[in-house]
Amino acid sequence: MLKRIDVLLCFGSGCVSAGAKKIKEELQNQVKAYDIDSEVNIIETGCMGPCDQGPLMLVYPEGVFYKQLKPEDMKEVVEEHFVKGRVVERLLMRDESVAAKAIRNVEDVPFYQNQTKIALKHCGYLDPESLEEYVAVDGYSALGKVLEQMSPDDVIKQIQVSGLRGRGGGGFPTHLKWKFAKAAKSDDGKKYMICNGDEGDPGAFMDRSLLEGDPHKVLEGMMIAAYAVGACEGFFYIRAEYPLAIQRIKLAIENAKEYGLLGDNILGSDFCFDVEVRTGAGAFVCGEETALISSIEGKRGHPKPKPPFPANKGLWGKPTNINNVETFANVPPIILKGGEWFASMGTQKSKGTKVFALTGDVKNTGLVEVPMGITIGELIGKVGGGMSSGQFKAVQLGGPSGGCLTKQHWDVPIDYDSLIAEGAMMGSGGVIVMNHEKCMVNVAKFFLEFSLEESCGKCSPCRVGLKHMHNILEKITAGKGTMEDITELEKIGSVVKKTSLCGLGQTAPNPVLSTLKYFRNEYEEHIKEKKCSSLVCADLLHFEINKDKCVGCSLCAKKCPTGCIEGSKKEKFTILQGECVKCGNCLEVCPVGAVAKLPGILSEDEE
Amino acid sequence: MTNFEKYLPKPENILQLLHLAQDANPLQYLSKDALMEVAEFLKMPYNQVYSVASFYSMFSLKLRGKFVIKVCLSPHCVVQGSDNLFDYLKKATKKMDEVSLEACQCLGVCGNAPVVLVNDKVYGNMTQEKLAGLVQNLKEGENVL
Repeated sequence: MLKRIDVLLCFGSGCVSAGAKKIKEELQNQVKAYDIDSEVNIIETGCMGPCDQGPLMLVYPEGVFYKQLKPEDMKEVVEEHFVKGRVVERLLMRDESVAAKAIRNVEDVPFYQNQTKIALKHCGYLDPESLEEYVAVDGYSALGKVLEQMSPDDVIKQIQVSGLRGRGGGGFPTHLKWKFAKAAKSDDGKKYMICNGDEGDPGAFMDRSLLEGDPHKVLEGMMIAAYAVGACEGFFYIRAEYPLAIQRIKLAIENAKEYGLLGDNILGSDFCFDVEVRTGAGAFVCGEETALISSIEGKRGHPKPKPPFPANKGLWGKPTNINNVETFANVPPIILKGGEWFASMGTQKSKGTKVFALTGDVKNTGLVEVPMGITIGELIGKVGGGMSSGQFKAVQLGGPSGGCLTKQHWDVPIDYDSLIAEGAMMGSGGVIVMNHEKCMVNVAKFFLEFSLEESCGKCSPCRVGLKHMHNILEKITAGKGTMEDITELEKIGSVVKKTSLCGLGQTAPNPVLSTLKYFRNEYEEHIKEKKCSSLVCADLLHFEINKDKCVGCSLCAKKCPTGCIEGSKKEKFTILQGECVKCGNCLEVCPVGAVAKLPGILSEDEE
Repeated sequence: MTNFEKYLPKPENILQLLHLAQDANPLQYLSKDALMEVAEFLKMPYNQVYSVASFYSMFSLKLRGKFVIKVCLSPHCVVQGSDNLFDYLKKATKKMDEVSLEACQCLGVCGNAPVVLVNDKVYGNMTQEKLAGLVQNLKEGENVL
């Protein structure tokens, strides 16, 4: 039944973690209290994008967009807006360029204006748990078109025209993968289709959002791929850290089965396809396709040497095609609107759009979808709305397999090939923007730590090489590095890249190598001057009390865990550098701002 | 004995069975007996089950508390201060037997960093004050904020 008001509540993991469930409960209570529950439709949707503004709510028919809701706001929203028809101004987004003007309508929110949505089109606008809603936005009509009017070769041809490349990071042309899997011979005719939902790159969450927000679209894309390569069985491999995504995709499969969209003779054709969900158990390496296959088979997630490629010898030795979640989500629109339409966006070699997870020191963080070829500057400045604090220093693209780029790359277009040429990588699309307060040596160390931790340990370049590189970085950030260490890092890094078995090791040195390339002066400063200008590396900074400012209140001395601050009201206070553990308590508690955090180390005699 | 019957005794189901066995244990870990049960059900050697269980970080072979708190220590959350939260929790939960504190990698909720996971509940935009409230609630046996 049509109701007067449709309330879309973002129920992506981000908003849920910010308390969306309580908002919904309270909203339901208030709607009941005002006796308008027959007029209000409350719908849970997938991720709406601007995660940092959550919990989010979109009210139709007007399209009013509310942000950062608290349960206690619900009474006002229901009374003022739903009953009296007056929008609650204080909960609206603001346009800071126009004197913090409140933005009433979702279409005017700058965050959305610079985006082009294909994969994410309906994410956040429909109830992911309803197959009917998906069908209402042309859902499964691409599958119908394929089964009725197109041969498998036609499908592959359309994908080729579209220029779609793997969205999981590698950027391998999708049509080629499908072509190889289609051509591969299987002794008993069995072929498998796998959807890789083992997204683990720190800072990337587009696959989770797609699976949570529009599961049927991913399923439809997978079914079209299965038809094209001739696979009859499929697996969703989703990491266990995404319980909501697992739950929604399972429900989508169940519903599709009820409607006869999965199973034998789908839509009256000869095409038969069935799909199961498998969950991981916390191993990043399982995002690598051969490791993922091992994991589905019930083994330790160890990668295997390629060739043979999964297209020829994959799951249980049968021809297998693996694509990323986002790749599949692009397939139905390509089939419906044609490959040329998709290819009209993007650059010469990277077509269409890409979803990025924008995080870090930018104003608008969250999930964005932009045409390929957008420059780094446009992505951060326009879509991201510029820096939230400090000056731009670097942007980390592609997570632990990617690299850091700088201000000089502001005009570099974001596409597979340009990024690799600059030493970064598309990866799965994580973008971390960093301001001048971040120490690049430390950032590189963190990313390396991640890869080291997640290395499966099968091949020695990755297992031993990364550990060795990490030790060197520890040394440098502790102020014990030598200039030879830099050469050593570069040497080991290139060996690990060249000789590792799988993608994890082959790309793991990238964060170090790219920072060495663009921020070499910072490494040198850490080594030669024993100084961390960004004031991050604890061993390379010190605290000082300005005696002119100190009022002798002794708060710092009381809060000091090692008791290394001495003095009196009269003499004022000083820090004994030798015993200081650099916890920063004194800086925090000083009421007059007399404590300063400074780069470099002071020895005791200097004091 | 955990009820494995909804899965076929095929080796490929081992991860799902291990999840099931771990979830069924109030102490949230895989005991030797549990691994034996899985081995028996799958007609698989025990060492093979152990080998798989020890590979994946979500399976614990050590006894844990009723509440497992995981703090994301991936670069993005650390940049937002999750390492300090981790240190804070270390102190705050030291004497709580019902709580096990673990570091974990990215939970994919980076737009709301820093992120803390307690059993199956994700808490975003965490601060020390919020954590203090959460720890208090856990003391009272409730996983809510």
